[in-house]
Amino acid sequence: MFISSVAKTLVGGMAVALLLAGCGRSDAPSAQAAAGNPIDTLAASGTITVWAMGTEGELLPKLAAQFSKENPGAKVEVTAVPWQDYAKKVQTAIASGDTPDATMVGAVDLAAFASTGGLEKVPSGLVDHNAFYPGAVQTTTFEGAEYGVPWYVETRSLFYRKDLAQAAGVSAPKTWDEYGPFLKALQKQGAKWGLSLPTGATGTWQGVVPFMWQAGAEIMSADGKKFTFDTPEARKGLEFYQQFITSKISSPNGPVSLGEIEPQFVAGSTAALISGPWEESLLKSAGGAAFVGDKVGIAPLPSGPKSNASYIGGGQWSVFKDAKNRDGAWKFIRWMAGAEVQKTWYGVSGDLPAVQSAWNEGKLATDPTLAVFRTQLKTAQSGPNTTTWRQVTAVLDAEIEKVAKGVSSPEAALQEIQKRASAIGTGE
Amino acid sequence: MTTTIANSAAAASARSASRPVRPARILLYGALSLGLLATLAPFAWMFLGSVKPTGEIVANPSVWLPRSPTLGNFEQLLSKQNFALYFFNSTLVAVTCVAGNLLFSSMAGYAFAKLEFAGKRLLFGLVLTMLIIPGVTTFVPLFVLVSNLGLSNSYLGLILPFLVAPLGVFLMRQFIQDIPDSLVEAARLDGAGETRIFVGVIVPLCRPPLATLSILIFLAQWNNFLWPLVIAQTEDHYTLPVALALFSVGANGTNYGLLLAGAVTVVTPIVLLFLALQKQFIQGIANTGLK
Amino acid sequence: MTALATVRSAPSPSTRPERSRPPRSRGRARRTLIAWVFCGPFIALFATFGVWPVLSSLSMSVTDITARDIRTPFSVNFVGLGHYTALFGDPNFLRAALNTAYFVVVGIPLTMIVALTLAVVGIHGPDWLNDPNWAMPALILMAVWRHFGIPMVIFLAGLQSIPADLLEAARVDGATRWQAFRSITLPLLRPTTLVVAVLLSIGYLQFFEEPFVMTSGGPLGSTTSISYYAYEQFGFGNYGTASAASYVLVAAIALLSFLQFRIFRAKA
Repeated sequence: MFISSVAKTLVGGMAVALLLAGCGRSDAPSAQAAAGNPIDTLAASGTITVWAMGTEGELLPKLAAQFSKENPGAKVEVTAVPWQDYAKKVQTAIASGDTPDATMVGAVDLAAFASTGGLEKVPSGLVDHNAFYPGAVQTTTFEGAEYGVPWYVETRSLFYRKDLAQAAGVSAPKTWDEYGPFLKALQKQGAKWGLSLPTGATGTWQGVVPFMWQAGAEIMSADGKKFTFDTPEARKGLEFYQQFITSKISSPNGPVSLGEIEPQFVAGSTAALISGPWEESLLKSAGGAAFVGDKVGIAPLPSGPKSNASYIGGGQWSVFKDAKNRDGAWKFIRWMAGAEVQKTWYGVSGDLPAVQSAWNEGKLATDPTLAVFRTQLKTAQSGPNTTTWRQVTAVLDAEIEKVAKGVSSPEAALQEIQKRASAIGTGE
Repeated sequence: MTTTIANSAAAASARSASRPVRPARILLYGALSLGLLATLAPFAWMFLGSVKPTGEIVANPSVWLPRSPTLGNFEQLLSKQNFALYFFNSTLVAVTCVAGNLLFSSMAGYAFAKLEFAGKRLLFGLVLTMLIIPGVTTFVPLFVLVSNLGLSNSYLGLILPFLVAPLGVFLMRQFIQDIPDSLVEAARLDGAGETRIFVGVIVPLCRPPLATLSILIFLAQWNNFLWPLVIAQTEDHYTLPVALALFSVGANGTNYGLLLAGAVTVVTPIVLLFLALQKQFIQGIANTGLK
Repeated sequence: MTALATVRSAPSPSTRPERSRPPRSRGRARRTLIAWVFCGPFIALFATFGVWPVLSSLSMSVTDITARDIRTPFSVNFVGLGHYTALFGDPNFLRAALNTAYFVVVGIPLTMIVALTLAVVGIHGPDWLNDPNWAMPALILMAVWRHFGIPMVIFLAGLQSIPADLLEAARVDGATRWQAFRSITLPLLRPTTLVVAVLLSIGYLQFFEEPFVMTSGGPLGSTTSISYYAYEQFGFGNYGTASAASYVLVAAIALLSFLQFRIFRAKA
C-alpha cells in the first residue's frame, strides 16, 4: 500500500531532521544585547510603521497626524490589528524577521515577546520611569531590563446602584468589614445578587487575585524565581472571594461575555459590579444617560488588611530589533509619553493616561468618576511579568472556578495552583 | 438539501399514491420538520441577532425576537472605511484559489488516476498523509517560508499556499478513477494527445466533483482567518474575517451585534453559491463516496 | 487557519477488478513526461507549501524548541522522543485525549444515527456550557448539527442505489419495515457507512472549532481536545510539545482509519 512508501519517506525526513538538529543549544544563556544608542532630540524623519490593536488602532492615525505636523519629515503608518490572535501575528513576524518598526503590546504579553529576543531594550534616558504609575512600569520589565514604554492604563473599581444604596441608607464600603453588609443591604432593596464576580471565564484571575493582594499576598518571590501562591495571605483573599458566593451575595455562575451583566445591573437584579473605565459607556447603551447620571455610583475597591489593590492593565509600546526606522519609532514613542500628548490621547480615545502628571488638568482632574480611578491607580498592581504567566493564568482561572462552584476549597485550590505553577515555572 | 428531501418524499408519495396516509408517515414528516427547525435555528438566531442591540444578544435568559430591532449593526459595519476593499480581497483570494484548484487539482487528479509514472504511489501516499495533519502544526514553518520568499503582505502570499489543495487532488483522483478506461483508450486510439483527452473527455464528465471542489475550497478560503491575519502587514490586505475580528473583538470583550452582522455578510455569498451549485454538489459527493 | 472543511472522501476500497497495465513500448516515456507535466504545478506547490513545513514541524517535535528560539532555530537540543513520552505523562494531554476519544466514540455514531433518521433532540434543561458534565454533550450536539448534513447526503445517495425490488420482495415475504431495514438496507449500506465513518473520524479526531469558539476548552478542561491542546501549547510558545501532540493525533487518525477499513471490508 501507500503506507510503506510514506513510512520510508518519513524515516528519511527524520534522518534529515536529526542532522539539522545536530547543532545543539549553547550552554551560555542567550546574551541579550545591550540597549541601543540613545535617541537624540532632533525631529523625526522617514516612514515609521506601527501596529496597534482594536480601537486604539483605529484611532491612532488621528494622533499620528499631529506628530507629522510637529515632525514634518516623518510619516507614521498605522496598521490596525485585531486583538484576536495578535500575539501569534507578532511572534510569526519576529520569527521571520519581517516586522514593522514598533507595536503596541498588551499588558500581559510583553514578557513572551521580549523573551524571543525580537524586541529592543528601551534606550537609556528616553523616558523617566517615575512619571508613570508604578503598576504600569511593572508590566514593561523583563529579566531586569525594560522593553516597553507605558502608553495607557486601565484599572477596576466598584460600580454600584447608588439609588438602592440611598434607599438602604448605606454608603460605599471602605473596608472588607463593610463590604458584605453593604451588599446585603442592597439585596434587601430588591436586588437578587449583591455583587457580580467572575467565576471561571477567561480573565477571572484579574478579578480574584486582587483579593489576595488586598490581604497582603505576594504571588511571586522577590527574586522572580518562583511563584508563591500557597501562603496564608493568599488563602485569606481566596476565602474572602468564596464567601461572597457561599453567602449568596454573588452568583456561582458569573458573566462570560462583555455586555452580559449590564442589562441586569440596569434592571436592578444585580446591584454592583467591578469594572473599568469602559463600563460607563456600556451602561449608557444599556440604560441611557439619565440612568448613569442618577443611579450609578462608583467607589474605589474596599481595603483589605494590606491595601485596596486592584488590577492594572493597559497598553505599552515596544520597538522591534528588526525595525527599519528605529530612531523614528523611539521618537514617536517618546512623544506619546509626554503629558500633553497623553491628555490629547485621552480626549481622542478615552484611554486613561499612564503618565501621572497628565491627570493634573482638565476633565482628568475634575470628573468624579475619573477621580475614583485615579485613586485606584495609586495602588493597582499587575500580574508577574514572566513568559509563563499566560499559562499560569489558565491554571488560576480553572482552580478559582472550582472554588466558585464548590468543587474545591480555597486551601486545596491554592495548593493545586502552587503545584502546577511551580511545574510550569517562571521561565527563569 | 431541502429540495432533495422534498423530491424523494414527493417521489415516494407518488409511488405510494394508492395507499392511504399512514400515521407513520405523519410521524415522519413531523420528525423531519422538527429536524429542519433545529437545523435552521442557529441560522435564524444569527439573522435575528444581527438586528438586535448587543444587550439583547447576550441577555440571559435568551431573547429570540428582537425587542427593539435596529439596523445599527449593519450601519456600523458598512460604514467602516475599507469594507468594500476587504470584501474584494476575500473574493479575490477565494475565487483564485477555486480556479487554481479546478485547474491544477484536476490535472494532477487525472495524472494519478489514469497515467503511470515513477513515484506515483509514494506521492499519492504523501497526499493522503497531508490530509490528516492538522493545520496548526505547520503554521509557523509555513509563515517563515512564505516570508523568506518575500511574499508577505501580498496577494500571492495569501493565495499561493492554498492554490492547490491535497484534498482537491484526492477528490479529483477518486472521481476520475471511476471514469471507464475504455473511454480514455478509445480516445487514445483515435490519436488524441493527453491534453485533448483531458480537455475533451475527462473534464466534461467531471462537473459534479468540480462543483463540489469549488464549494469546499471557496468555503475554506472565504472563512480563513489565521493565515490572512499573519500574512497581511497593512490593512489593505485584510480579508473579511480579519476585518470582522478587528471591528468586533475588543480588549475586554466582543461586540456581538457587529459580529453577527458581519457573520450574516460573510455567510450570504456562500449560501448563494451553494444554492447555485446545489444539484451538482450532491451528485458529486455521492459519486466520489460510493464506489 | 481554519481546518479545511471536514468533508473528506475516504480512499476508495477497490471493489473493482485490477486495472490493466498500460501498453509498454512506444509512448511510455512520453506519457511519463506528460504525467509529470500534469502533476507539475501541484507537485511544485505541494512540495514547497505542504511537505516542507511538515518536515520542519516534525523536526520541531524532536527538539526542545520554544518560541524563544524561533530566530535561531538550529541552536536547540535534540530530545528524541522526549516530548512524546512527556505528553503521555501530562494529565492535561491525557485529559485532552480522553475528551477527544469521548467526542469521537459518541459523536460519530450519533451523527450517523441522526443523519440516517433525520431527527434532532430538542435543547432545554441543564446550564449546558457551564456544567462540566454537560459541556461536552452540548458540543457533541453542536458538532452533530454542523456535520450531519454531508453524511446525510451520502446516505441518501447510498440509499438510492439499493434496488427497490429487493425491499419489495422482502415486504411481500412478510417482513416488517424495520426487519427489511435491518437485514437488507443496513448491510447493503456498508460501503457508504465506511465512507461516512472514515470521513467523520478524521474530522472529529481533529475537532477544534467547537471548543475554540464555545468554551475555550473548559469548563474545568472537560472540552479540551488534542487539537485544542496543541493550539494552546503553540500559544504558550512550547513549539516542540505542540508539534509532538499534533503528530500523536496524526497517528491516531491513521490507526482509526486503518481499523475501520479492516472492520468494514472484512464483512463486505
